[in-house]
Amino acid sequence: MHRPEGFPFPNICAEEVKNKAMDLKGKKVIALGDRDSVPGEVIAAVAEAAGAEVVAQRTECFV
Amino acid sequence: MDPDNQGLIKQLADELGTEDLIVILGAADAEAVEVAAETVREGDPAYVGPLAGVQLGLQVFHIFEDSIKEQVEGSIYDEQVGFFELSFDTEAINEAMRRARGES
Repeated sequence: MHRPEGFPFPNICAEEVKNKAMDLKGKKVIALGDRDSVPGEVIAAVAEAAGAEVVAQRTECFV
Repeated sequence: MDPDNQGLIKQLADELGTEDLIVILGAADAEAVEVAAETVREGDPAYVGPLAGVQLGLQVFHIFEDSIKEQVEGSIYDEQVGFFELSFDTEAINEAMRRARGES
């Protein structure tokens, strides 16, 4: 298993980190919704329920 | 992606760094979703907005993806997103996200 030089976690390789499940808890989220589908405030509510900090929420209009 | 939103994302990435910054999309058009995801990862493909030529490499997901869904209590997710899930082609959207991330 290839481990890049200087890789900070000695017991896991880069590919394992890449494939590790993303955890929203403690992350900063930009909620980019759409007026004709899921709006930004819905995305923000879900992200906050998962423990993320919502740093911006927008609802775009593609029309 | 709207140039105003590109500017906002660039500003937040400059202020907060990119490591813990995640973009979650809600658009229902698979092509628009793919372009938006590409924009926050590789830069604006149309070369018109503030992210033209800017590779932020942000993590980006769609609200319909399991990786988001599985992190929220089912009743909350269903209450907030359930109606939208039934209204749109979620598989086409999720496939577009996988393409944008180079996973398929």
